[in-house]
Amino acid sequence: MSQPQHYTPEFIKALAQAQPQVYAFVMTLVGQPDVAQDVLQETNTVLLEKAAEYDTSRDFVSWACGIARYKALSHFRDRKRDRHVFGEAAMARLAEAAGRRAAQVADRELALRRCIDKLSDEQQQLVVMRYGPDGSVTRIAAQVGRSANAVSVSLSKIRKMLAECVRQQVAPGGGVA
Amino acid sequence: MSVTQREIDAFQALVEKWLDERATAEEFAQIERAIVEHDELLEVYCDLVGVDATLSWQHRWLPKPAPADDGVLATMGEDLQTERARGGRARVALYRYAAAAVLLLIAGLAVTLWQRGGASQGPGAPQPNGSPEFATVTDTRGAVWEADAEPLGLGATLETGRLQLRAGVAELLTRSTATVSVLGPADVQMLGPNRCRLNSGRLVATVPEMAHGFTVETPAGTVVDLGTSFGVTVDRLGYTTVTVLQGSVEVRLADDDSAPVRLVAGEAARLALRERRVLPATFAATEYADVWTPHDALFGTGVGLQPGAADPHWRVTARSDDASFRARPATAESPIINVPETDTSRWISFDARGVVAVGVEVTFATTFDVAAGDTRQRIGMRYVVDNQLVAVRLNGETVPLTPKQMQDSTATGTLQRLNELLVIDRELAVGANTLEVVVRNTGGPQPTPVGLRAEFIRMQP
Repeated sequence: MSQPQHYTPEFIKALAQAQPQVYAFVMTLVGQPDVAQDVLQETNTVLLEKAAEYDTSRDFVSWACGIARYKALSHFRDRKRDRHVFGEAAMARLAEAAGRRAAQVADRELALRRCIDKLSDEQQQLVVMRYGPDGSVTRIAAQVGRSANAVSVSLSKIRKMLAECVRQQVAPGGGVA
Repeated sequence: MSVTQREIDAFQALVEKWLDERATAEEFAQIERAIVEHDELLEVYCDLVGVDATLSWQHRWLPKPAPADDGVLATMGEDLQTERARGGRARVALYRYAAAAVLLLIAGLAVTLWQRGGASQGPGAPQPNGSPEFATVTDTRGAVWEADAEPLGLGATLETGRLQLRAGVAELLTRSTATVSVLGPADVQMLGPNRCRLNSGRLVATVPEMAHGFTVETPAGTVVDLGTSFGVTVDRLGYTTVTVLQGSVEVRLADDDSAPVRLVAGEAARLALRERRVLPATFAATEYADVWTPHDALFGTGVGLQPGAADPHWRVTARSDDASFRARPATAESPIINVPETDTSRWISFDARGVVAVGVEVTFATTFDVAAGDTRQRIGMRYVVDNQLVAVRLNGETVPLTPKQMQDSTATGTLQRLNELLVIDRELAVGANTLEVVVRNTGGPQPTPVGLRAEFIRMQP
């Protein structure tokens, strides 16, 4: 039997709880789910490497988002990706906004579920297709027999409706109306 | 400086383009300037991207719910209770997803760190010169270890070596991300990142796509995953029984060069080494009830009924070509298609095999009771329909279905087996709850039968 390696339960729990918040933050920086997932994993790797340094009195999400910020930058730098990357000022603004919103992630998820229920069946189906694996607009267009542009317009409309609906439901101080 | 509605609309359009990867460098620069200079546009940006982030997180990255997940998550039961009390269902859902995701992460992390070589030497970091760790203990429930076995706690990692469990359940996440629930008494040995040996006892393996090919060796042969969840039992005589809960597997007798036998969901087989044969066995999912729990209130279709008998739990409530249709009991049917009979479900239809015209939709419904305090539960539905699943509704609310779940069973060949688990994750009502399953007949030009077969497991909230 190998020598067991341990992460403390507190650390694992904190890391688990932070996942959606850190992912949401990374998405604001990179805008693409695939890239966001890569950056999240790279961030997690660093967090686990530094598990011993975790100070339970510090806010875990802030710590994680700080690392994620640099990981997002280095992700594009290392891969020399031809992808737009926000500069420092924008990054700082986004980090600040993410910090404000971190406590609302669960409320926003709940609100979003309610908002999705208000969509038509066809719109819900588009959401499932778009955000599932391989959910490219072109692929969806081929599946539903519409033009890519028409699908794009529909998705744009849905996204705006959902964003507005969530905004109306989530109170500024937290909680769902 | 406030912004006008027109500016907000224009900005939203830019963000949409960026999210769809269609924004030019100049347009991206405009977005950047806007979020730096305008608080209001920063919030608009975060709202829009936040929707995208939540949806992609939910639909793309979360591990598929599986019964084994529930056990993993039970380790954090206290937190779940707290979260329920504080924030309700959304918090619980987020926490559950995140916990599952992070456990997957931890399982895969060791490899990353080794590959890097220069990884930190903190307590969480594997030693670069150590031999590879093949699995992580992600949960233990009532685990009692054999006297001479090393007790393993949450987060402990395993190389090769035997895991000897006298009682309880221990859950492992392999480096390949398969989940292995070991049900004591059992003796298991990890042989590699995607391979283990069950010397005795029972285990349930739940294998995501990325761990395809996960293999369980037993004294009688091997079981190779083909994308699935399956149970394996090695009894005292060394007989191996394989039960496929989802997907399919291939089984092969030890030292046998003949072609492997493929088993699909709902099938079970015994590897009879002495007889040199793979023999059919009774499908008994309840054997693995510790991690695969049949729903206690929601009955599978046609359970225990003879063909033609009225199902006391299921009824047919509507057909799309007959507005005056009156609800009536569903009836158990002979296999419409050759999906093996099990102790958990059989085909149902109505009016002598429910022969209807092509395109007609038939609604099957069942009502089940839920006690106060038990309304937060997830229901897993395994099903096969003749021919196409059109909708699932719980208390009148539509359950989102994926395109795959709505595929025509005949066209895709999935009519031959129970489909992957469909997870119904909705708040239930105290008292009576109604589940409706709408099935469309897509048969040929002549009227053909329509039918449903479904069984349910209870998943942790």
